[in-house]
Amino acid sequence: MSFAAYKEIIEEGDTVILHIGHENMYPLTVKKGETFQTKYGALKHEDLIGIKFGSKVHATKGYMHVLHPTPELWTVNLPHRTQILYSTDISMVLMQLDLVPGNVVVESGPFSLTLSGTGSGSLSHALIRAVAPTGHLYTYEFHKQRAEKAVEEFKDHGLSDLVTVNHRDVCMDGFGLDHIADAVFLDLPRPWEAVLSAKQALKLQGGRICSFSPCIEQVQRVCEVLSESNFTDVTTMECLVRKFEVKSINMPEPDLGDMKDPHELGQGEGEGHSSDVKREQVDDNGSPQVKYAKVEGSSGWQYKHKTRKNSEMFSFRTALPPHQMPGHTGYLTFATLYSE
Amino acid sequence: MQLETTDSTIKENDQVIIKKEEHLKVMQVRKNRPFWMEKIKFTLNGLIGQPYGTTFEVKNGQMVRLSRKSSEEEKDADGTSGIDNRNLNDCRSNQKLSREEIYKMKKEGVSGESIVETLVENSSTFRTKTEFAQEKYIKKKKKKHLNVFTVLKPTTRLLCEMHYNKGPSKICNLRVDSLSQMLVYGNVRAHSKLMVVETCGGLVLGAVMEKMGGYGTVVQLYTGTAPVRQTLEAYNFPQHFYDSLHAFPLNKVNCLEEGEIIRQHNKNISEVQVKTEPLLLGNYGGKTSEQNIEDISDVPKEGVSEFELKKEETEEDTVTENENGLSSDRDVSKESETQNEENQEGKGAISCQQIAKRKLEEERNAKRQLKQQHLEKSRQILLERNMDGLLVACKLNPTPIVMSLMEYVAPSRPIVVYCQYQEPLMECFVKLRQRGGVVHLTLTETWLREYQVLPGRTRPNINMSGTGGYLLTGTTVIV
Repeated sequence: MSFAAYKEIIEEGDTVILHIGHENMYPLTVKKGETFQTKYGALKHEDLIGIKFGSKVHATKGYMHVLHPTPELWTVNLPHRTQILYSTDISMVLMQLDLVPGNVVVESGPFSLTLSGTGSGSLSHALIRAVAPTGHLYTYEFHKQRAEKAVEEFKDHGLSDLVTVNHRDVCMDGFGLDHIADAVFLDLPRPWEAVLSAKQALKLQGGRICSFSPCIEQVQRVCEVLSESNFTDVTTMECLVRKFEVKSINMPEPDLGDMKDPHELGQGEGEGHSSDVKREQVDDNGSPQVKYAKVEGSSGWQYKHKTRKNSEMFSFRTALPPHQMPGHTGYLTFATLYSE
Repeated sequence: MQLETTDSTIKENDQVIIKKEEHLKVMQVRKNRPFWMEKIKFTLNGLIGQPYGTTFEVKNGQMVRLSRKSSEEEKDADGTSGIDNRNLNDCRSNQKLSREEIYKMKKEGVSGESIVETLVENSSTFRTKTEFAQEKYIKKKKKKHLNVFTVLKPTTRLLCEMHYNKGPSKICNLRVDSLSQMLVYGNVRAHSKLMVVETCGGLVLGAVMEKMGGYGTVVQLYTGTAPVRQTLEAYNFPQHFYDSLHAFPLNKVNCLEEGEIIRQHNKNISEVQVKTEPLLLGNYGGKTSEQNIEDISDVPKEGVSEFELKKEETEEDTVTENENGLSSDRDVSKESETQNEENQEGKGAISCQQIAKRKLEEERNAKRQLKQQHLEKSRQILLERNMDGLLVACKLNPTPIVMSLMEYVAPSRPIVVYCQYQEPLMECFVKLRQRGGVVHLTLTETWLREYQVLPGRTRPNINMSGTGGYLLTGTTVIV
């Protein structure tokens, strides 16, 4: 029941997100008598009932936080299959489809993409959030078991009133909706086959459509069909997220050897003054050290060999991008249908 | 509630977006009010009663509705074209039509379509251009001579695009993908109870209100003497949306719990400001970098803020009047009516001026009291300390804002901070880590690339935006 609106206290049957550590979270449905194994030991479900969302809970060997589910936390924590829609793409879809409370939105896609096998679809949840409390989501799935599973999960999450799950092959049989939708989302291997039916589903006053495809050939074809079907403002984009790690870095200063110091070497101060190049360095205490980089003398450059006890460090804070990140999720194609 | 979905015809006084190619402009539909776009003067009279999404051509200063052509028809029937550009030279004499002749045609009211046709006929090189070049030529000429506009309903998507293209510095370079993520990571939805701090002219606030659909509560924490919300007008929000909107000055945050200072607020704004501002800054040592940023931005600070404030004041006044169902104002006017009558019976027209003066004063007092009540209401909302989230997108250093306002966010709720620079968010990240009470802290940046999709010529666009800003998100927990 905890998806539809925020609540304060955890009750039995609620879906919660266990935050065990950085990037280490698990979704959990609270059931009396069950235990959940974590790397910090066993956690009794009973311990969660009656406490506040956001509380610290103790397992046998450590503690963790229990969080309120949101579509985003849900997306992060789904066991990642080959392809799912990431929050970055989902954000863009919601924005570009102009969704507001009260809208009717249609989503079609094999739930293997938008809905993971074990949890509900991340996009479905985000779409429902966008149109609730007075709007509706029509979602289509051609795989019977998955459709049934989806119905069950929306019920568990307290969202049944806001969504209709249809077991149907959209490309073959269409959406079966007549001019009731404000927006349509397609996540299909052959999206162009569903464009006309999508047009039929959109309100007569017009609406927005989105097609998500991983391959450019799919984009090419769907764009052609969209234009032929009188959709306009067709745009295709790609959106990638870079996650940074904030770190303090200490970089050793290079030891280029000490310069010849005219004072130590007993050279006259007046000698070669004109060509002295002063370099200022600030040491750890903040006091400037003056070094003579080049001294005009009889022998030119001189090196003094001295081992450094504490090597100097250049310290700074930085945001490190990851060494590896998703380089492609899919192309998002958007278009508008205006009233004719 | 169905307003957004059923209201698809353009009405007088609606704010609409006029689109010509990539140019977007927000306009209010007013009868007989002329306006200029792309060097063309016209009125919007023709729009009233038409559905949104209609395309118009301007003819003789009037808007004439165009039927939507299918893409088939638009293709050029004339098939002659060249293979490449080996025989083409860039030369003015290629076009036989002179500038004066084109201008004359325009003056005579010749349609843009036929001007482009005449241009093609008079181009000595058009037939030798490649098919692609011909298409490009026509497109270019159409863009110049066709006065075709599409009228759209303002949405966050379009408003963000408009501001980002026109003057991104005024919306802190907030690109549409970053804004969309703010809304998603902030879990913005109907019945949320949110804090918003923004200096994007009301774009972020408007986006939040749009996505909440009039359900829930928003407290805008503002700098200066009044909140800046000029973009809000463009949304055509129905009145009840404004009932859910509250405002509280940032410079009162540190003394939120002391009611006294709030009560003084209207009596002596400047005095209180002087007292509280250093307090707010003092906690974090440094000065805000507002001054520096102001120097960089191209608009002179004084002029703009003054203008905005004035505008804001009048706006706020109308809002507050409507908010209370006009009840207080009616009382006032009734009172003065009876007074008027008494006066007319008794003293005649002795001092119309005095009455007017008194009336004005009463109105002012009523307004002041209303403002006071609103402030107190916002304070009470914050003091419940169960806000459903905090969204920050401003030119001020975000760290002190986040550290102070976090106190009022319920546990297990999102905090979303946008900044056009990375370093302030790194600082905020570290401070939040040290403080504790936030998990799943994430610093991100997005990359957005658009594509040209054409048969056999699909590729990324030549230009792309270099940055859409940075985002720090996290979830509050009980320490």
